[in-house]
Amino acid sequence: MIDFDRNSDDAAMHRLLNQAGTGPSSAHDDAVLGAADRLLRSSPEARPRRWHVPAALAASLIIAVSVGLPNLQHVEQASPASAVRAAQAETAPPSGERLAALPEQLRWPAAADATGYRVVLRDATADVVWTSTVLVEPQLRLDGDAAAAVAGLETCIWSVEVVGPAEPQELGPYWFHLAHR
Amino acid sequence: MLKFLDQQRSDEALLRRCASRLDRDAFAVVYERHRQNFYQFLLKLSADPRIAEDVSQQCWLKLLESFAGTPVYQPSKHARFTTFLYTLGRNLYIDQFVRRHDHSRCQSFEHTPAAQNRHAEHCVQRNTHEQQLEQHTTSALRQLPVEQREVVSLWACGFSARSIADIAGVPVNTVHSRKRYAIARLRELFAQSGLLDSVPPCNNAPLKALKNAVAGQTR
Repeated sequence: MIDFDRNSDDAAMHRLLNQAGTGPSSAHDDAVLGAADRLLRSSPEARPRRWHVPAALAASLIIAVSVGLPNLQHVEQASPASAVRAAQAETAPPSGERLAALPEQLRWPAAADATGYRVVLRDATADVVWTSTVLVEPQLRLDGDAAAAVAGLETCIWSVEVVGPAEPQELGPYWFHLAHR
Repeated sequence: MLKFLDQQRSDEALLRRCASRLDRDAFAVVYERHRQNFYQFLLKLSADPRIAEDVSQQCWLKLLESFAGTPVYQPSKHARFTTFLYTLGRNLYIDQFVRRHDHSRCQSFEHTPAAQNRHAEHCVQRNTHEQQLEQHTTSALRQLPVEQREVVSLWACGFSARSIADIAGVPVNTVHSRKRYAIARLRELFAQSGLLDSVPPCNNAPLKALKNAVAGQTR
């Protein structure tokens, strides 16, 4: 039996077949990307799935009933901006922050069904510089190898892989700049 | 920065984000990554640019529309996205354009003059050297039975024998033999059409080997 990929004649044929390399027409691109515009949203507006809204309303109702309806008059309407601030507050250091020194630790919001977290640190070109072992708590102490990996960077991008849920989840990316460099 | 990061992410991670956040930019990165190679695969498989565009568009729209409900591609359940996408394209093509037309899979229906004219029109509209090569290649591929075309198209896209076997639903040994027959036939066809002379000089060593092999067969 011939070798599937290494035969030199096959390599020439492979190149020959791949020389003719045009893409689909602009009409094709317009149809697909037009549908994407209709069905999806650009990143800054990327929203939760539609079922999240009724689920959030149901959750709010349960909380309101458990706390007591009379207290409803004191409940302030949460604005999207305050929700973003709340999410950022759970992340330390807040994403996009310019820091004078290396942060002592990284902290992120706990995820439901998580049995652990794996932190990935990257440089400004998104190359991985360090990966943690699986952590039980939603925080990482930035010392030892992790600190050494980050110490030389002007910008550190970090993200967290959530271990445990059936559907793989990733938190972030978050990043911080080191201002003294 | 986020768009830059998206380009570093795997297809699977980006599509998870499409499903959970309906993120258009994540989809655009995946589409840009695969649009050309996927179209090229379908063009080689169908040997008809209109069918290739039609099937490609159907696949991307099917993927997009599914984000509103249950995504057709779920990284936790399926293999790699490329394997999923090419399987989807291959199956759609076989179902819609081979089985439905009640043609024997070995006597593919694209041999009709109409399909050949469509391709000629398509190439006249985009008359460059690259497109002429595409026309020659497609004409040669049209001479192969669809089973061989399927294998050789996936192989040209860089899939391993194991992945091709998974996509086509045949044993690995069958993939090897189909590929061997397909390449032998393509060698003859390319030699007849003079296409071998159009390979740029950078391919010198392998090309010489290929030319010698062809010369040896025709002698």
